[in-house]
Amino acid sequence: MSFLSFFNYPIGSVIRNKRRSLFAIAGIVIALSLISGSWIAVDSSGMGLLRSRLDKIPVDFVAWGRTSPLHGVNESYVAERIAAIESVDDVVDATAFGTGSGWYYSNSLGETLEDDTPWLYNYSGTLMFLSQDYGRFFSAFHVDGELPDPGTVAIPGYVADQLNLTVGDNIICRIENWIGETDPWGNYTYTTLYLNLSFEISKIWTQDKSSWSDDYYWSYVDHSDDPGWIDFKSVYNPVVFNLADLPLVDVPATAFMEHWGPTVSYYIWVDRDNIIDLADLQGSLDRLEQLKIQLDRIGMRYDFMVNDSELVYPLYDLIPRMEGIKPLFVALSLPVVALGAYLSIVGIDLGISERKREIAILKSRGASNRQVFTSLLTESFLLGTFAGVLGLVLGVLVSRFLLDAATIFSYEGEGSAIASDFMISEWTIIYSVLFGIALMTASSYRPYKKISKADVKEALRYYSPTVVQIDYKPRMDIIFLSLSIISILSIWVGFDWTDNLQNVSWITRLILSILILVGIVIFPLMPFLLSLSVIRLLTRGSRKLYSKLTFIVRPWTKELHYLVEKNIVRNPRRASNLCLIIALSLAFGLFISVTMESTMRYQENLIQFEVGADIKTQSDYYWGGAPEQLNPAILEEIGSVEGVESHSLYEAVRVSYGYYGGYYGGQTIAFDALAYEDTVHPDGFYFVEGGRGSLEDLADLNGTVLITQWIAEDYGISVGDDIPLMLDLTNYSSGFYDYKFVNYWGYVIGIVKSLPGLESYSIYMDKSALDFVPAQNRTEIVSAYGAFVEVLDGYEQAAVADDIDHVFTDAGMSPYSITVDERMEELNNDPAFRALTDFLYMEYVLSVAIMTIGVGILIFVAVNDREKELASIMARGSSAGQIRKILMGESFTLMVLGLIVGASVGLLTAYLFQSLYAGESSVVPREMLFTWISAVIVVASVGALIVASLVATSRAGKIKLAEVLRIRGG
Amino acid sequence: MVELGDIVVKDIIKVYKTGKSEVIALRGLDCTIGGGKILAIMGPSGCGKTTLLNIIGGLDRPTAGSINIDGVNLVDLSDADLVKHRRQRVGIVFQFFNLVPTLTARENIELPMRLAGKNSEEMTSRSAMLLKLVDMEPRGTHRPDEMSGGEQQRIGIATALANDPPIILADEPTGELDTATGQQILHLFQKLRDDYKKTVVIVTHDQRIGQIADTVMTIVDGRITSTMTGAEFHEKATIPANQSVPSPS
Repeated sequence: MSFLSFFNYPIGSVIRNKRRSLFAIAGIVIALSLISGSWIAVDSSGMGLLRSRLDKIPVDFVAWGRTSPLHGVNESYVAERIAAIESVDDVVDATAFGTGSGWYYSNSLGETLEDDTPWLYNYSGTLMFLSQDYGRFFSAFHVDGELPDPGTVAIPGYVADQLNLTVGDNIICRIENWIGETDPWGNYTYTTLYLNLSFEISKIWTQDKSSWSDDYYWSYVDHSDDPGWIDFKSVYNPVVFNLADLPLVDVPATAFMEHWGPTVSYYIWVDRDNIIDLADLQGSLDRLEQLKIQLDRIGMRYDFMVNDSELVYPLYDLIPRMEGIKPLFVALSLPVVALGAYLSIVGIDLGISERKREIAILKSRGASNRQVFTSLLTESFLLGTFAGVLGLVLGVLVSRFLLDAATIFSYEGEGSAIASDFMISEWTIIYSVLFGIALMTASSYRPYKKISKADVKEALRYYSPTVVQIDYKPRMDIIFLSLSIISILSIWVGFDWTDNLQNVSWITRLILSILILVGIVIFPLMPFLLSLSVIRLLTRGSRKLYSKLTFIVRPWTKELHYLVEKNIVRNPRRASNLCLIIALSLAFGLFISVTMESTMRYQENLIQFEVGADIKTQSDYYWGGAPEQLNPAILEEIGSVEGVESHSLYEAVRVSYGYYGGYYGGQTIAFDALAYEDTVHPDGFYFVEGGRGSLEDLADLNGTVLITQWIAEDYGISVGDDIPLMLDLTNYSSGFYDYKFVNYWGYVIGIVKSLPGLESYSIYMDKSALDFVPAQNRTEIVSAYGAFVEVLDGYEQAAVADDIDHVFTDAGMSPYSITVDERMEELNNDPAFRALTDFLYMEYVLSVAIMTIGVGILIFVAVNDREKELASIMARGSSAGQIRKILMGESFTLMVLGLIVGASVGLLTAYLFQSLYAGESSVVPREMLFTWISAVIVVASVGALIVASLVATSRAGKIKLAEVLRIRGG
Repeated sequence: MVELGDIVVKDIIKVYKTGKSEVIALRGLDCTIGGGKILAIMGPSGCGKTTLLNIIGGLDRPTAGSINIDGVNLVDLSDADLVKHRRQRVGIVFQFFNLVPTLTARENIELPMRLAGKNSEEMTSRSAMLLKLVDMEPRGTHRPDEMSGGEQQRIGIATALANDPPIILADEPTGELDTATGQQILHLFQKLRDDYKKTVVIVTHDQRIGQIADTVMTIVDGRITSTMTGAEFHEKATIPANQSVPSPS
């Protein structure tokens, strides 16, 4: 047979047997749809992300004149250079401007613009001389303004507001110079000289910075919402002249200061659509590099140098992230890939049993084992290619649901993906096809190898679907089960034991460490190994379990129950495949939902712990502050703020464990313990010894303290102990340190893990415990004032927090508030968390699809195999409904087994996963949650299975009896 | 007068559509099969004899014509009524036995009774009786793969008799059996007619059928070409002496 004609047979086989081909590739198509879908989503949403980052870059290249200062710059000078720059391919526009810095702005009343730091220095501004050929300057920087009239200036709205200036007024630009001289006696004196230039204001500019943040500029005060604040990235709040008016400044300034002069700069814009190809980011970087080289060449002639384009930074940032995240998604897709490959193996297996005679006939006609195997493998190759393409097509649909997944590496508030963004890179196509071929070949290699060696005469015998005998060897399943148990035990037990490892011999330590390591390494595979081994041992090792389980369907199948009982054991391999697919899908789904919900609850608990109540407001003080200006008594007014249900005040005081001259540690909170209990409602979980009642004791019993567990352990303190406390009364207000310490004793009435809202503190006392401190010294010992607030239903936490802030401000404090709602919103909007959740739930949906299809295929083939038998039962008086009852009874029994094992494995894995994390010490309780979402998953899985069974068994009622029973032979 | 097991076939036409082509399996067949008789239907492969059997058995519907069994026109029956017809009026014996492989002989016999909703006592006593009738009492607990072809066919006959139908339809019942076993099966059919007054319709190539049949009908290309008595057929057929069906004792 010629090489090309050889392919006719496998190609024909794939095309002719569409059902068999689809069964073989169904699982792999779904698995590939997730991988290709995630990659398409990464590329597509990367477009949106890149677009939003590029939009924040107003100018593509910035060039600086080499000679500085440069006098005599005029329009013809810059025009020549702009023309040269614009002659470079892909440069679409350029403009030039001169700048001179170090100028102060004042008004005619002599008021000088101050900067926004607390030290209120004079603002050091820049004069800018903009060419008439300003190009995209205004649009690129979103400036609402025009060039000033000749001889006049344009100023930023911020400057106008601060100096009370308007159009028609004059602004005075001042520069300072210092002349110093030393007299013969060595005394140095200097004289400050001023040059004041006054210019009429003809334009006031504003800028819309809403589309881009001030990433590149740090300001003491955030001006991003102030349209009057002008930000040109390298120049801030300039006073702007026409370039032609440069002599109005240059001449007097140069005369005043010899070294003064403007620097000439150029803003350059390129054709981004041509340069940046989002499908070829590396190529884009190369093109930008080439462009810079060409501009540099122009610069060598025209005396300027070009900076690297800012456009490269988002590309440099995104390229490795986007490429790096793709393997991550492949890794996360492994469960559904494994499931899909398993379904493919099942599909191939089913196809093989149909083709036994065909292959035997081929061999009886002269085909060698090798030829048969090569032909079958060629079919795999073709099917794999087709699966890759089909997976890609389906992946396009899947990608629409995963657009947020790619923003896993974005920053909050950045442009998220738009549904219209769509990109498939050629590598996605190539990898999809390659994965398809690889998975298909891996799935089919062993079964095809086996069938190609099958005995001819054995396969040519008439095959009657009697009871299938399987030669089951449980060795591998026992090994898998053992590994799973080791994994479970090592995680369950291991972490507890690590604390005690110092007390055991080195051999025990070594063995335990190896066990724990093995357990952790195996853990990701554990659910798969556990489900596989348990199902196979239960369903292939013995047939008794099936018949025992059929009692579930007895009330429904009634008189036909004995048929169900007998038939269910006839093909243990098929039965165990069905159970396994169901078990793995459900295990995965439950693991995902329970873990995600539990993690979400843990995060919520962390937030509750961090904030304490609905709102936490705190104002901190540092050494050298001015505590005498504070009026903490005003904080009592918090109780009368609208929306406040209850509140609790606290002070961080300079009390620590220990005594002056010795060791010390810990930070102390003095609070109203009863109000704290009423407002924060701390869970009993936090109280290690003493219980929640210890808060009441704290209030009732003078001199008592609660301490944290770590201090108790570190210093060997127990409940009932007296501990030395040191109060730091050091005074700073006189400008020098007046050290003063008071030692006294505290009685420990309880030990806590920590207290909500007060995590960074380790000693807690009622505020009355410090009544011995004189009133005039009271504020000096406080390093922070704070309040917890519980908000009434129906009130917005943010609004109430604002009012609380005002109370603090009235008390002379600088507060910052956090609310639970705000933190929860941040958590829910966290791109990484959201992306991961979306991806994993999508993966579960696809695994349910695989499960449903797998069950459908298995039942369909079972019905197909038994078509003649079912027809003969119908010929003997059975109705279609009775046949369906028998088939549904069989499949439902197997489903229940799969669901039980799957649910058990899923919940066990989730529990172990929580234990893995709970191994870290955490002050916040970590609970495993089974929410309505998990219940929905179970119900949805059961529903999908029932639907698949109904659809697959429905064809039993459509059997054409006469046609089927006329079939002679095998 | 309509006797139990009377079959009246009038102008039956059956057309099969296979792809783009049509095959006319029966071309206006007319015949009457009296109750309590054995009718043998013979003819070359593809002549329509099995098609006729399927229509009588309610496994298929005619394209045109009518078929009355005990006064009931099968053409007018709904699918649910056809199920009842298969359950109560006919019992089918297959060439390849078609027993449920996971059930024992007794359970296979009880299957039609279960489908008909009979109680356990009735099923147990009737299955025991039928096992005795077909001489398979010791093999009641054996599965089909533990029996020979002849034994399976006996169970097949017993299964067909489970709900005591008046009509037995047999499609090549001796096709898979050796000569001696085939003779035993033919003897059973004889017994069913003589002792139990069953109407038996047998589709066969077996030349010995003339020895037990009351009527032998030959179908060629969907039409009846000849009808003769069993004795007439037997005279014309060439059967070795040692293959005769023993006369009923």
